[in-house]
Amino acid sequence: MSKRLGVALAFLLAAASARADFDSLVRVVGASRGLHRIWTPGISLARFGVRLIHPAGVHDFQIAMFDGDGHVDFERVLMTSSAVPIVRTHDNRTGETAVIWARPLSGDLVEMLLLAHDPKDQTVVLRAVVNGETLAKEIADPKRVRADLSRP
Amino acid sequence: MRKIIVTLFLLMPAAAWAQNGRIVLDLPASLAAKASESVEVTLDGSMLRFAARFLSNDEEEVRGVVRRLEGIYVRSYEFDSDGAYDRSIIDHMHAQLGPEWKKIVTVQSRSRENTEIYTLPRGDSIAGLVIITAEPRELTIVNLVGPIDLDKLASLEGEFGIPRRSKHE
Repeated sequence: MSKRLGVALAFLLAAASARADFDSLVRVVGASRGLHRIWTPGISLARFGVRLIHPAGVHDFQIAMFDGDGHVDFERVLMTSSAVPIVRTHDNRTGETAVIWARPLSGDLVEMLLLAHDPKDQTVVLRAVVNGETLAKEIADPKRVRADLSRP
Repeated sequence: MRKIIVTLFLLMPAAAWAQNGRIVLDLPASLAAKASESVEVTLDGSMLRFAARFLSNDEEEVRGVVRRLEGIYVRSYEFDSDGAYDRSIIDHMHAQLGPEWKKIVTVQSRSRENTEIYTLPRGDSIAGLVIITAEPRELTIVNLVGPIDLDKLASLEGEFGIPRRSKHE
């Protein structure tokens, strides 16, 4: 019983820390001058549905979208998480930047936290818990997974 | 004298790390700021083992290599003009590679593209590998940590942010 409790506590702590990373990332981006958050109606309902039926191997997600011509302070962004991003790309010509953090969870699940910033378009902060196998299939053959999804 | 001791003290962890196959890739932020494009990949052992589970059966060779690796670290920068980066960065990388590291490949082309490959031998195997490619407008440093079979190394080309040898492939 105590082992189960320990595992449950560890999972809760990990989930809480991941949500904290997402929240602090959203705070940093939201504080960027020139960017304002776009609220998408029904996102909580969509999240609830995703947690129930896991479409395309997605087990959970949180998303925050921002609009406007703003500059994101990436030094502050990197300080929002103690983890090192697995990928960080930046194009100085266009200002496009992507930062991805990832960590394996139990089983085949991986948690990803992503920040994509395009000064000419939107800025997106996304946290997703996805099945690694489905993700790998999607990367290897995106058309096949999309076909699976569109099937009734 | 105090400065020398402090410098030695600061270099000690980096040197110890390098003997483990990993080099310190904390390149100055000004490098990314000057670059027109920058890509940084940091994959540690746990993430690599996780990723290896989902490689397809066609990638059996890659899976075999990746499963044993403890880290893949890539730093790649492209610049709009020649000589936009400080070449002392390369000297800093060289300084981390102690006498145990062996340079196995040096390529110097007319287009001033220099590639160096260093390995850290451990018995019959290799515990680490560093590739430094310095072109007038591009700098790429790749560090693979963990047991590496050189025969199978080519299978990692184009995977996990590791550049292909030929851009025309």
